[in-house]
Amino acid sequence: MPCPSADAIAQAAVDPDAAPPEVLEHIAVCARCRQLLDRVESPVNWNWLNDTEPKHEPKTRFLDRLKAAVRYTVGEPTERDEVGPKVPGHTVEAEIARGGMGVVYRAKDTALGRVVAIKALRQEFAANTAQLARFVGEAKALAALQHPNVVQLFHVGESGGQPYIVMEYVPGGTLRHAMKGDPWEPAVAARFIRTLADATAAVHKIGVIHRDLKPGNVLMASDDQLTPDGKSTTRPKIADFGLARFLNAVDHQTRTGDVFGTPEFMAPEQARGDHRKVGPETDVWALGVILYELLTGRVPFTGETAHDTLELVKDGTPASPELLRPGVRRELAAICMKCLEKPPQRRYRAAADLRDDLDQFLAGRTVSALPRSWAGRVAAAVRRNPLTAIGWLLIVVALLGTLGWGAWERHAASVALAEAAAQYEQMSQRHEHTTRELYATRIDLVTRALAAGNTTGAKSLLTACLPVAGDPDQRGWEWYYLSNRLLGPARIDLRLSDADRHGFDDVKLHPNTETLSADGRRRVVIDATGQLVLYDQDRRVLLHLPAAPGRAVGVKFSKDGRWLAARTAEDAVVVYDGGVPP
Amino acid sequence: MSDLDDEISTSTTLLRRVAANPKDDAAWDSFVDRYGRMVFRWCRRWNLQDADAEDVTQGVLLQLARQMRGFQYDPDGRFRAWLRTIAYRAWVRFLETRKRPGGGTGDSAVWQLLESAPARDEFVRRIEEEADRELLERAAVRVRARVMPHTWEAFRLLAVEGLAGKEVAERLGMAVGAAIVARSKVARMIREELAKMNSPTGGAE
Repeated sequence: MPCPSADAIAQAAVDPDAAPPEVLEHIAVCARCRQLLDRVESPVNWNWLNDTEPKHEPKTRFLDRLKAAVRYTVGEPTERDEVGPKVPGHTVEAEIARGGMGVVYRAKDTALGRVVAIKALRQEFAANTAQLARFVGEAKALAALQHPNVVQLFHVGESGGQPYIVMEYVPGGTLRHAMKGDPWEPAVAARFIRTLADATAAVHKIGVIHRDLKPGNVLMASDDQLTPDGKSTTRPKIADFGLARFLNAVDHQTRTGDVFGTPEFMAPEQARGDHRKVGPETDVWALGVILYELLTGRVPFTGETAHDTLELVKDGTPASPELLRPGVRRELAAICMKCLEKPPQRRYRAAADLRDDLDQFLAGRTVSALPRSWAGRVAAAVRRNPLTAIGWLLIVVALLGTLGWGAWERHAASVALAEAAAQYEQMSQRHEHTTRELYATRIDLVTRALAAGNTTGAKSLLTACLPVAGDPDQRGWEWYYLSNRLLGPARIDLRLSDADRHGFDDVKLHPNTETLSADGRRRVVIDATGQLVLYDQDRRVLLHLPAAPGRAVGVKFSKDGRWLAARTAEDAVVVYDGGVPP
Repeated sequence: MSDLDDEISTSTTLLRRVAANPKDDAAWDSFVDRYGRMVFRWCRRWNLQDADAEDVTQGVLLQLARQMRGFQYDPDGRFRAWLRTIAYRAWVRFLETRKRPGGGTGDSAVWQLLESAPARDEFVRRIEEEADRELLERAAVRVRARVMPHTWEAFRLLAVEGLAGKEVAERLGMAVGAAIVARSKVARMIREELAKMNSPTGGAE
């Protein structure tokens, strides 16, 4: 065969699976075409990706000691930390936080004697004066606004070319710390989000969108008042309104093509980079994500990498909170899911609407997210059980068609039938997705229940994972492993020298950093900390398996799929028993 | 960005993480795991005994941590220049503290070797190389998650393990050309990922 065109080779390079066989055969034998294929290659030392057995490893105990020493060393104050930004009328007292955007200090307003927080932005944020001016404009409006649940902004200025923001000092941690991963009482969560929605609505009123609402930006102020039973209360305060756009605009000039923000809390329009669509509904989305996390203990969209998370934000459908956690009322779940509608116009159009609907819910009245009209009920039925509902629709349409009113009606009916069939197809895919999501959540809850010593809870959750008639069996190795663990220790520790005798010579000879289960649906990967992480076919995290003693350096499923063996840096072999081969 | 919790980003290398936020304890731990191991192995290759290798590793790593904190990385500047400065200063400071009374002795022949300029230059080069290696590993992890397993295997066996095309094709049950093309595709994606991470504020240099 003569050499294929450069285009054909480029095509093959982009999508090898779709390349015509004759092109592939040709590339295998033609040095010139191979060169063309590799033309852009600069020398990269691929050998670095080879995890050859390192000799002379330090002892884990030594590394642990060294970690403590390094932590101590970097914790010591240095001269650099004692210098803060020079802000007229203020004395900087201490550094309180440090992040990607700059450093936050506690300072004292010398005239008023009031304690404030000063956020010194990184130098590069001063570069764009147009953006800074716009931010200062917004900051003026924000400074004029007083709301108990918005961190009060005092003023924005510049010191030696470094922009800074003077704002209310809020002691206490952020919502991220306060959540601790456990779900909240649904009513408490609803009241909490109601408060945040009210604060957000007040800021939207003056034309400022947050764009980066997330638990890390909600500060938990301890209130001065005590509750009647003598406990101190906390009051959420939203920080950094309007800051995201400013940082984002500046950062876009220094970075290339990075999506900016926190993927888990970004709205689809932000994930797509469609900044014109960003509006009040973007903050409504973020409030929905926070509500979801408060109700279920997990964020609705999370993948193995930031890229995967963004794909899920754009196209994934999370399971409704009422499915993940019994006790969440259907109305509250509907409010949450309405915030998480992909097109902004299908969410609450304003944070005030979300607040009002939460008020309705808290008062036990009908909510707009779940109307009790006929159409609303049908819609809710479709949401709850799309397969059944659409199945019925198909039957009705088919019946209408066969009853025969004449050619035109039949034609109309067949068009409707085709549409319904297409929708059915789409719905069943979504159903499949939701089922897997639900399964992953249950497995997650099983591990938590086991860790808390709640075997009864773990048992009932495992039972709940059994396939429902008509649905595919979602269970994989992890299910059998966890069931096995309920009965007793499902872990065997071997010395490396004994591994052969027990048939795990594989893990000794080929320390792979990942392995596939026998059914090909599960992947186990060693993460950066040396733990084993088990992923499902959608790359969702299902299970973490600590490989102690030491970090795992190799991992392998046995051929029959029953055993998972890990080799550690300390030359031990840890074997996890899946009981019955799945 | 405006985040008090400073979420961990997979797109950032350890050096950048600790440079941006010296309070990130988890990042420092991973830093010790990677660079501590590297320095230790390096010491052992210089024929230092275990106890001496541990001493040197600890001394150098603490100096590296101090330098990184004291000599702030300017995101506008060149990452590699910064890293080189940090490594150089850490090494020099480390040797200085050893010379002080009570700073430890060890085998004097080995020490003379360590105090030489070639040892210093090699140390700096090793640190840079480790940073490159980390970057490559991170890029590879990100790419691997985006390609089909057989595509990745073809790349790994051909480029990393250095097997012949024919053998790889047989093992994976694919055409030789397909394996070669798969390798090229993955290599290109990793390069693109490296370029992205290498952009002014994205990673090294």
